[in-house]
Amino acid sequence: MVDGPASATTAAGAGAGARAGDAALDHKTVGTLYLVVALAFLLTSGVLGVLLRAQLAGPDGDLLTVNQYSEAFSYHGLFGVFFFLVPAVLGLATAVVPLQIGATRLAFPRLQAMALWLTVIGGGMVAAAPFLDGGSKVVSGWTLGSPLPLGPGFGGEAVDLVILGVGLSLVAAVAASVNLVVTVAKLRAPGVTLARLPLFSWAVTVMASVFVVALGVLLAALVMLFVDRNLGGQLLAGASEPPGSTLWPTLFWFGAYPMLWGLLVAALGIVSEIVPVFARARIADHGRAMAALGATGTLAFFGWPSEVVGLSDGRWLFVAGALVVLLPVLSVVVNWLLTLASGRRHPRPGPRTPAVPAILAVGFSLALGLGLLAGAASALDAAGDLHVNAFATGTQHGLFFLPVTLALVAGLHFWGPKLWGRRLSVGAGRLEALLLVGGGLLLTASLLVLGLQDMPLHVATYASGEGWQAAGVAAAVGGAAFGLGAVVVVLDVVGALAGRPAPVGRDPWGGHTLEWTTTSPPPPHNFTVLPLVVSATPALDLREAAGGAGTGEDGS
Amino acid sequence: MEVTAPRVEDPAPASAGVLPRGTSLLAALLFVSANTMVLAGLLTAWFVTKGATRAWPPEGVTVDTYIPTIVAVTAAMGAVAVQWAVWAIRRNDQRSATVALVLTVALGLAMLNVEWYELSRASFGLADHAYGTLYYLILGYHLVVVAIGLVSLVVVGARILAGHLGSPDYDAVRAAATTWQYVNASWLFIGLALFVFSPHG
Repeated sequence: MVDGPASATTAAGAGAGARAGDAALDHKTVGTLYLVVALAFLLTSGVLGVLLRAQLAGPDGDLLTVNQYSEAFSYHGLFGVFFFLVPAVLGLATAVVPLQIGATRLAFPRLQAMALWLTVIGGGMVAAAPFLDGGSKVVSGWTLGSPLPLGPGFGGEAVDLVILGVGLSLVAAVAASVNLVVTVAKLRAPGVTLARLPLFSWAVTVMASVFVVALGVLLAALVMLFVDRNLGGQLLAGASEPPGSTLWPTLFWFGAYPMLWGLLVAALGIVSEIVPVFARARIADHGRAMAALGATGTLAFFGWPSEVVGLSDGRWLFVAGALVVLLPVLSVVVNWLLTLASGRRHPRPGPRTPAVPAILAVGFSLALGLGLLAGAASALDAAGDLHVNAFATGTQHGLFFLPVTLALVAGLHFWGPKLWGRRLSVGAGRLEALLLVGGGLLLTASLLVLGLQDMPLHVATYASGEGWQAAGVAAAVGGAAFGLGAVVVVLDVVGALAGRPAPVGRDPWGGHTLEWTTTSPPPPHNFTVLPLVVSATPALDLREAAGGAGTGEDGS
Repeated sequence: MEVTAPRVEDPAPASAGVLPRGTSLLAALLFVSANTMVLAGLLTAWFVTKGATRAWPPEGVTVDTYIPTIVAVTAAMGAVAVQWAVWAIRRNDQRSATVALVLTVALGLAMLNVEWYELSRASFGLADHAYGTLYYLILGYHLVVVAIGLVSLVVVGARILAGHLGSPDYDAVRAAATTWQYVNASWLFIGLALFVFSPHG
C-alpha cells in the first residue's frame, strides 16, 4: 500500500466496499455476536466451575458423584477454553481491528460470519453431549487426554460429538484468524504502516498467525482420536509399544500450548492500548513492544514438551523452552511501567477516580504477576509433578484464563462506545473489577497452594486428614466471587445491548488510535473522514494539533 | 516519533470497493499453511510410530512405488496446467485459461481415481495395525485436499466463464492455483514419507 497524503483517497476506497445495508456481515455486528456467544459459554463454564469448587470445599464432599465431578471438570474446561476464551478474543478482534487500522470492513466478511456460526454449532454439539448416549463418559478433561477416551469404558456417541464440536471450533478459529491476518496485511488505511500498527491489532496478528500454524496439528490429533474410536484405528492407545502413549499429548500440546500463549498475547495487546491512554502518554517504546509481542508468539512454540508428562530425554531443553517465553512478557510489562513513569509529565485534568479499564488493567497485571511466577515454577519442573497436580490447574488459570478474561472485560469497557455506542456502567464495572480480580486471584492462589500440598489433578473427594480444607474453602469462595463477577459482566453487556442509547462522544477516554476519531458507534463504513496517519497515535496527534492535549471529551 | 499537524481529508465513498491486489492470494497462502500443519501432524505420527515399531511396514505388507509415481507425474502435469491458467488469465485470455483449468480438473480427477484404486487394492485394513491406520489416514487426507482443490478450480473456472475474472482482476485464479499447488506439493511429502523412506522388507 502506498504511503503518503496523495494516496489517501484511493487507498481508503480500496479498503471500502462493505455492503452498507447488510448489517449481518458488518464486522462490528459479527464481532459483537461472537462476544455474546462467548459470554454465554463463560457462564456455562463458570457454573460448572463453581460446582467443582463447592464439591472440594471440604472433605468428603457429596454434592457430586465421582463421575459427575469428572464430567463437570471436563465440560468446564472445554467450554472455558474452546468456546469462551478463543471466540471471545476473536470476537473482540473482529469488532475492533478494522476500526484500529482505518479499514471499512474485514477482507472476507462472509468468512467471519461462517466462523461465528461454526463456533455456535460446535459449542451446541458439546453442550448437547451430556444428554446423549454415553454423556457420562466425557471425563477426560479439556485436553481430552486424561485419560484418553479409548476402549470399552468410553463408548457412546457423546465423546464423538465433543471431538467433532471442538474440531469445528478449531476450523472456525483458523478461518477467522486467516481473515484477521489478511485484513491487517491488506486493508490498512494510508499511513498505517506495519511499524505504526496499534499494539492490539499487532497482538491479534501475532495470535492469529500462531493459530494458523498451531491449530492444524491439534486438528490432526482430533482426527486420529476420532478414527481410533470409530474406525478401529491403532494409533493413540499404543497397545503394544510405549511411545504410542506420548503421541497424543505431544500432538495436543504442540497445538494447545501456543494457542494459550496466543490468547495471552492478545490480552497483552488489549492492556497495551489501555495503559498509555490512561497514563496520558505514548507507549514508551512502540517498536520494542511489537517485538516483544511477536517474540512471545514465536517462543510459545518451544514450550510444549514441558506439558508432556513422561518425556525424559533432553529435559533441560524443555525447561529452557518453557522459561524463555516468559522473558518477552516481562519486557512488555517493563514497557508499561516506563510509560506510566513518563505519564506524569502530562497531568490529567478532570476527575481523579480511576476509570474501569484502568482498574481492570491493574488487576490484569496482578494476575499476570501471579501467573508468571506459577509459570516459571512449572517450567522449572518441566514434565514433572507440577503438571499432574492442582498446580497445573492453578498455572492454567493464573497465566491464561484469569489474565485473558480480565483483559477482555477491560476491553469491553474500553471499546464499549465503539461496540454499542455507549459506555458500560461505571458502577457495575467497579463491582466487576472487585469480584473478578479479587475472586480470580483468591481462586488462583488457592489452586497453587493445593498443588504445593500435592492435591492430585483429578480428585472428586478427599479425606479430612489431607489438610486441603483451608485452601479448598478459599478456592470455593474465590470461584464463587469470580462467577458472580462474570454474571455482572453479562448483565452489563445485555444492558448495553438492550438498553436505551446513551450518547457518548467520539472519544470518551482521550484515545490514541484511529477508532477514536470516528463516531460512537461508528457508521457501517466505519469512517466518514479519515485523518492523515503519520504515527502510531493518529488520534492523539489530532488532539495535540488542535491544541487540546488534555481532555478526552470532544462531545461530538 | 515524528509528529506533524495532521490534515483531515475526505476518504473515498464507502461503496467503491475492490479488494487490493493479492488479498485472496494471501488468504490462500495462509489456508495452505494451516493445511500443511495438519499434514505435519499426520506425518509426525507416521515417523514417531515408525521409530517405535520393529517392523515398518509390518510383515506381509508390500509397498510398491508404481502407482505413487503415476500420481506424482500426474501432479507434476497438473502443476504446469494450473500455471498455464494463471499465465493465460494474466493476459486476459479467458479462453485459454478455461481450457487450462479444464485440463487441471481432468488431471485432478485422474489423481482421485488412481489414489482411490491404490487404497482399495491395499492388502491390509485400517484397523489391522498402526501402519494401516496411518496409511489410510494420510492417503485419505490427500483425497480431501484434492477434493477441496477441485472445488476451488471449478468455482474459479465458472467465474471466468461468467466473465467475472480477467486481467487485471485475476486474484481468485492465483488463489485457486495456490490451493492446487499445495495438492501437488503435499503429494511430494506424502510420497516420500510413505513410499520412499518407508520401503518394505
